[in-house]
Amino acid sequence: MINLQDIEGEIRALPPFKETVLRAQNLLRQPNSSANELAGILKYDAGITTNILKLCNSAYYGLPVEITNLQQAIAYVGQTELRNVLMISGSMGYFVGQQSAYEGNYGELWRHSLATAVCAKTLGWYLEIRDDALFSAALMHDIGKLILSNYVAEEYKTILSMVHDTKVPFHIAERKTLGLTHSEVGAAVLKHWSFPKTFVNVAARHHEADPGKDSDLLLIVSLADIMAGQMGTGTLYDAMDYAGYDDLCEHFHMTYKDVERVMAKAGTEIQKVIYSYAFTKKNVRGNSNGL
Amino acid sequence: MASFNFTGVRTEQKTQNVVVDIAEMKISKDPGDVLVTYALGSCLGIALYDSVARVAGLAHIMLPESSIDSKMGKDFNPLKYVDTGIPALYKKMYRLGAEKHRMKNAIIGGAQIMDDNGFFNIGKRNYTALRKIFWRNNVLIDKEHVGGRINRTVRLEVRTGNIYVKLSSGGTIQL
Repeated sequence: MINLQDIEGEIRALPPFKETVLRAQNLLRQPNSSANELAGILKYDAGITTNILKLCNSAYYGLPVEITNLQQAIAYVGQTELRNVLMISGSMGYFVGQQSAYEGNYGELWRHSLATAVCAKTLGWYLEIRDDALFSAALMHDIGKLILSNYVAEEYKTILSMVHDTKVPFHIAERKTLGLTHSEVGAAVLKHWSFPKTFVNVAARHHEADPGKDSDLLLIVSLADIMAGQMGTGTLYDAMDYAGYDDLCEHFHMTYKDVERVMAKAGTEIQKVIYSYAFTKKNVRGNSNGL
Repeated sequence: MASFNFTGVRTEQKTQNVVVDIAEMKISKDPGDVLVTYALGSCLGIALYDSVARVAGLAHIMLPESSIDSKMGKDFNPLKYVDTGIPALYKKMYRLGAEKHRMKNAIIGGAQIMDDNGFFNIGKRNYTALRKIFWRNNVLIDKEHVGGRINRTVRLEVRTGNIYVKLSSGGTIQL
């Protein structure tokens, strides 16, 4: 059994999250922020600017013109999308590297994170809940799996047989076997990186959301996570080993038809996002360039 | 793919993967093609093969019924739904010379999360919708690998009609 103190060293050993991304995120959260101010923050980080332009010019947005500077990027993709692109740019690098024990195929955890982010954005649109953090918070929800990977690798047989024999969801089996869940570890990672409390909370509770007291942001990411898993973009061991959160659907007055409508819309978008931003063993070198 | 030429020397025949994305279908008569669809969760993979015409088709369908879609926009994609995607797949097979009585089918996917009856039992609903449309058209399921809590990747060889299913729980099986 391990506890958070045991893995504190590993969390500290992660490369720090790019401060420019966090500062830019904070700026974009303010209603009166201007493109110039943003450019002012980002101009000192040439890598980030290059990445943002590259991401804005990807097939995902399919823009009619080539974006060559930040002001243009804001004008064409808008502030919300720019926040999303910033978060992709800041976080992708952590997912490139060695294969995580949660993954059956290389890059699977990142694909799942992207798919969850798209589902969260789509749910927000469908439910008319405007929260610019939906995509970014969903993108980071499983970050704890990066750290917990080594421990899961040793114990996955025990975890899986517990899931299959006693029909407990995956995160409960994680807790019973390892003493910690990937959710708790994810929250600790985001806290260490000084992410806003809302993000920390999403990572911490995305398998245990309570419609009575939790924020819409958290409830939506929890639903998005399940949807992404259903659409084949889960990670190896725990893609389907969760219950369906019917209480959350009921909270939003969604019927199964609403669930399907959201999935119909998100499905094709997920494919585009994956083509634009995901990596495989083959293209990782081209794609990981500073991302 | 390995085979033997007339001198008995083992030769490698070149094959290329043709990827079928979410809500897409691919039909091929090229013996070098292998139709592949990755990561079927609750989605269904429908594989068709006519061994006389040597035509293979594979669709990756997401949801049971198109009635949830307004179908108004030019964006309507029949391959998202079982009830519109399956006719689209069959029609395209016919156009390439396949015939209904010769075609063999295989159904793969339709996985479930932990609760079987909740809002998210999409795998089960997809499978039910498929049974319904097959039944209405007098088609029987020839082979299937459906349900459970696993993701599947499907490969269909145009040359042979062989179907391989890779399971996220480990291993690959031939249907």
